[in-house]
Amino acid sequence: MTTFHAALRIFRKDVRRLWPQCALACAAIAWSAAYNPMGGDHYAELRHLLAPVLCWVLAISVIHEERLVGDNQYWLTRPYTWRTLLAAKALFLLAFINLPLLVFQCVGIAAAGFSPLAWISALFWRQVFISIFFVMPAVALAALTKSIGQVILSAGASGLALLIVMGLLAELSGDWSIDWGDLEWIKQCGAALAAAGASAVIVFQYRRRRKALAAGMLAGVFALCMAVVFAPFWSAAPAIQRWFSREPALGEQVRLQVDESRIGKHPLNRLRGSFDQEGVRLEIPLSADVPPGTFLGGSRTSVRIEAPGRTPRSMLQVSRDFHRASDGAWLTVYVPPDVYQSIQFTPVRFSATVELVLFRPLAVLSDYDVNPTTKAANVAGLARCQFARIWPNCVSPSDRVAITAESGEEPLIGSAPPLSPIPMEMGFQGLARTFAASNDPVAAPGPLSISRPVAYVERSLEARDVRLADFRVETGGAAPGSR
Amino acid sequence: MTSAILTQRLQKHFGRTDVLAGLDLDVPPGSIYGLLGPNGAGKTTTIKLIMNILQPSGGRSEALGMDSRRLSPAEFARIGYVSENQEMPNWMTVGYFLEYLSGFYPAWDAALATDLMRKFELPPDRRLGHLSRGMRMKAALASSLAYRPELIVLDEPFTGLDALVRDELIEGLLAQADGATIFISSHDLAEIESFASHIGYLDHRRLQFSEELETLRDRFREISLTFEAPPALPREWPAKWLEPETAGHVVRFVDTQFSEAGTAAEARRLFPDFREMEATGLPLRSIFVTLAKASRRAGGEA
Repeated sequence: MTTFHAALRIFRKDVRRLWPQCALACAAIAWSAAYNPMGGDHYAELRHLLAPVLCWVLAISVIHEERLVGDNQYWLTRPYTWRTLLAAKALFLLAFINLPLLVFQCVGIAAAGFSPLAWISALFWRQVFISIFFVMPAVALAALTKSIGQVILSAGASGLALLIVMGLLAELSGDWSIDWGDLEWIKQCGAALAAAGASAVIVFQYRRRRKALAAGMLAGVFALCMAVVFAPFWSAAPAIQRWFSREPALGEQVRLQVDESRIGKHPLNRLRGSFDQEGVRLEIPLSADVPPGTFLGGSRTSVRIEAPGRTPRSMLQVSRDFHRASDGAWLTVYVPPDVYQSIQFTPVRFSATVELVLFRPLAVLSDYDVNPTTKAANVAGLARCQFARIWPNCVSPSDRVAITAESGEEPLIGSAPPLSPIPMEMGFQGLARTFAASNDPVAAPGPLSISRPVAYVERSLEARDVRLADFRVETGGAAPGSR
Repeated sequence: MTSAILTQRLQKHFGRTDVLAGLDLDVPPGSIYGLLGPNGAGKTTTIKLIMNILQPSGGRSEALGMDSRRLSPAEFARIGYVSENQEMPNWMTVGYFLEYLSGFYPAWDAALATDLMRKFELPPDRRLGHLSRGMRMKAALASSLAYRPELIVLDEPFTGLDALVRDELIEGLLAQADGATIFISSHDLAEIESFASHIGYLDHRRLQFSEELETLRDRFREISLTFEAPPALPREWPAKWLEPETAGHVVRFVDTQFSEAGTAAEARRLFPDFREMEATGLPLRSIFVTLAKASRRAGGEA
């Protein structure tokens, strides 16, 4: 009997044994993957929980059918190799997790009016990430345990360890930020590479069945993964990003500087889409010179404020609050209240390193076909938008394009896409919302821009002898500098 | 192939506990080899090392001429293994269990499998988890005989089974194992004695002896020396004479190296005034108990 036939035999046996779990998992996958979130999701939490949990149970159950821990299992002396067994399990997971997921995601995408074939690459990458971050850890845990109870205990212990590590990091990190802003995808890819180490643990355990050693290896993989996830910003990340940018030369053309002529002239009516964070809000006027047809989106901002006779203060912020207007752009910065109170009227040196994303519109649709009955439109095959609300509510199979609804003079990026060269979505759902309603009403559907990030831009800004009070914007209503 | 099973200086330790300290074992092809030893002697560990279920800490072992660590499907298709506490797929019916396994064995004989089910009175539609312990052992044995293995390894197969089931198992085993090597560990000495051709005794982490059963029987005798008056045991006592005891005018012991003339001469040297010597053959159980007691005593004294 060939390896393939033996694997198929084990696979058929597992199907015969686990078909109720398979049916439940497939139903949950269908419910989750084919769902169109356009109209809101009353069961979002259940939907997001049910399919992963059932798939986890299925993955653990199929591994435990031929448990690897212990030395009394009947199959240990039967004539097939560990490769055969592993192949059978992989086939099962592909058949009852990945394949249904792919099929139902395609169904959901097709039902929403998209061509699944056009998005097959994105769907493929989604399978890769789901396998790495979701299926493999479950398989690795199952390969080291005897029962689902042990899996729950192990997962609980890992979760507890994670919480402790996060707590310690929060205590120790200080101004050390683990948020990489738009470069987060680099960290995610690093975490994926680290998590893929679980595959080595699985192969090792199938080959050698040495629980203690395999558990040590898995702990190492987990620690490595956490180290990547909680890594402070890596100075080489922008270089990596530039390497992967679509049009890095365009980024070189961006000129950005503080526009001192507009200090204190921030019009409050531009304050939309911003949310107060802890701190005093400052709006820094910028003059932005960007290549024709492109616009900038916000990312990370490192701010340094130096006042005479005082210790310089540094702040790191990750925000998309970078607004452009006809007369220039505004960079939003939040300063701790104590810092602001102590030096608000003191001339200071303000410097910042701003990391921005340069977008290029793929299409601007001002005259698109809205179905009068459904009030929905298929936007260039990239998204489907519903205009029943005050702002268009769009869904797309991928979040790799930005759909901006223009109203007046300022476009707003509802959800900026990641800059990654590959799709990074990891969820079970086939469609994702790409634009959320704003609090700024629009009477009628305005032009829609479909843009995508083309370059990553890092610029230094400086303003000397400026007063923080002149930049202040009170979100409660008062104009800057009015006190 | 000169040995069906061979171990050389086989060692195994779990943490700081030594279970086997250099086991040398040679099981001739075609033999029915009974591996005996007290609880914790390392019989199950030995078998698991031979079957590549556990990894040795030192030394090596072979099964059917192949290094245990390299046993492949080709060898496992020629080996049947049944263990006392083997975890079975309890959800499978007996019929499906045999049908499922049949595909893995090129030499699987479906007619033989059916015949074994009938002989063992195994209900094909009953789940393994719903079978009694004896029936489960029968199902395991049937699944390991249906491809006519060259080597059958049985680890304590009779433990906890009633006499009838034991007899049925042994009958089934012997009926189908023509020409095969059977390697069996057991506490059930009476059953082992009824069909084993070779015996190995494992104790204190080592094989104390390994020989043909007939030789063993010839070698072990209970000796009774009768005196005119109650005797005293001499200070000098041969190590090969175990479990000495006096009862009135009689001294009894077990000679582990019996020979008619040699034992008589040795007895006369130590007890010049004994009147009569009687040598009685010992059942395997008595030999085992004697050795175990002597071993325990030696261990305690040590």
